[in-house]
Amino acid sequence: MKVSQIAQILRAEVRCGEENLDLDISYAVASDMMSDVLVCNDADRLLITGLCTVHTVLTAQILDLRAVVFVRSKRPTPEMIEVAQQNGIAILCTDMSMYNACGELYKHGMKGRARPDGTD
Amino acid sequence: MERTEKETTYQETRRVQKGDFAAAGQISASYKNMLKRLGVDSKVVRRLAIASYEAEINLAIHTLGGSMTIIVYPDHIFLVVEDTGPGIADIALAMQEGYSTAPEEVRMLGFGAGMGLPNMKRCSDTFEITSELGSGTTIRMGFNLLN
Ligand SMILES: Nc1ncnc2c1ncn2[C@@H]1O[C@H](COP(=O)(O)OP(=O)(O)OP(=O)(O)O)[C@@H](O)[C@H]1O
Ligand SMILES: [Mg+2]
Repeated sequence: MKVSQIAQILRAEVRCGEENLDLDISYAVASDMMSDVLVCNDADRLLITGLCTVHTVLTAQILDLRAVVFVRSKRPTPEMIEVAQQNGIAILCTDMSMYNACGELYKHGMKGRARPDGTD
Repeated sequence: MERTEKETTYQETRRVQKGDFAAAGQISASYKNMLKRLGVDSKVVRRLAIASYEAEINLAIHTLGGSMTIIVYPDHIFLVVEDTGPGIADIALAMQEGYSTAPEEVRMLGFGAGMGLPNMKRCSDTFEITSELGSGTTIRMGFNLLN
C-alpha cells in the first residue's frame, strides 16, 4: 500500500517525508512497546503507535522503516521531525484511535508482521 | 585465529552513563551510518543496529554504566558491551522472552518487555554473555560479513 493511500485512509496529516508518499509498504506493526517492534527485522513495515517520543523515531531509524503513524492526535516535537527528516522517515499524524486506524488499514488489505519468523 | 591490528578496518569504544535513557540509541545510530558508509550489506547493518540498540538501552536502564566497543574486520564485526554492575543473577532467566525487571517508567517509554537479550542473540551470528553479581556483565556479539 502506498504511503499516500495510508495517509488518505487514516485522514492523516503528513508532517515530513513527503518524498516517501509514492513508496509501497507491504506490512504493518502496531504497538506502543518499541521492544516488541524490534523483535522483527523486516524493514518493509509501517509502524503505527501511540508512543510519541524521540525513541519511536530512533527505533524506526534502526529498523530502516520508511513511515510512522502517530495515532490519537499525538504531536511529534521539532526534534523528532528533524531526526525523521534526516533519516528519510515519513511521519503521519491521525486523530483516529489505534484500534480504528489498524481496523481501517486491515480492511483495505494491509496485513500485520511482528514476529521474528516474518508472520503476523 | 590471531588477528593483527593491520586487519582491523575500524575500532571505537564509547561510554554509556547510568540512567541516560535520553541519549540511549545514539551510539547504535552512529554505527549504522558508519557501516553504511563502509558499504556493509544493509541486512547485516540492520541486524547489528538492532542488537546494538537493545544493548545500549539495557546499559542505560539496567546498569551502573558501561561501554560499547565495535571492531570491524574485513570479514566480520565484533560488538563488545561491558558494564560495571550490578550483574545478572540468573542468565538463563534473563534470556527468556518476557522476563523483565524494568521499572514502570521505562515501560511508559516503550521498553521493558523482556525481549532485548533474546533479540540480541537472534540478530547476531555469535553471542556470548557472562555476568558476575557485583562486578558486571559482558556481552560479545559477532556478525559475519561474508557468507
Ligand atoms: N547488563 C545488564 N545488567 C544487569 N541486568 C540486566 C542486564 N541486561 C539485562 N538485564 C536483566 O535482564 C532482564 C531482561 O533483559 P532484556 O533486555 O531481555 O529485557 P528488558 O530490557 O527488561 O526489556 P526490553 O529489552 O524488551 O526493552 C532485564 O529486565 C534485567 O533484569
Ligand atoms: Mg532490554
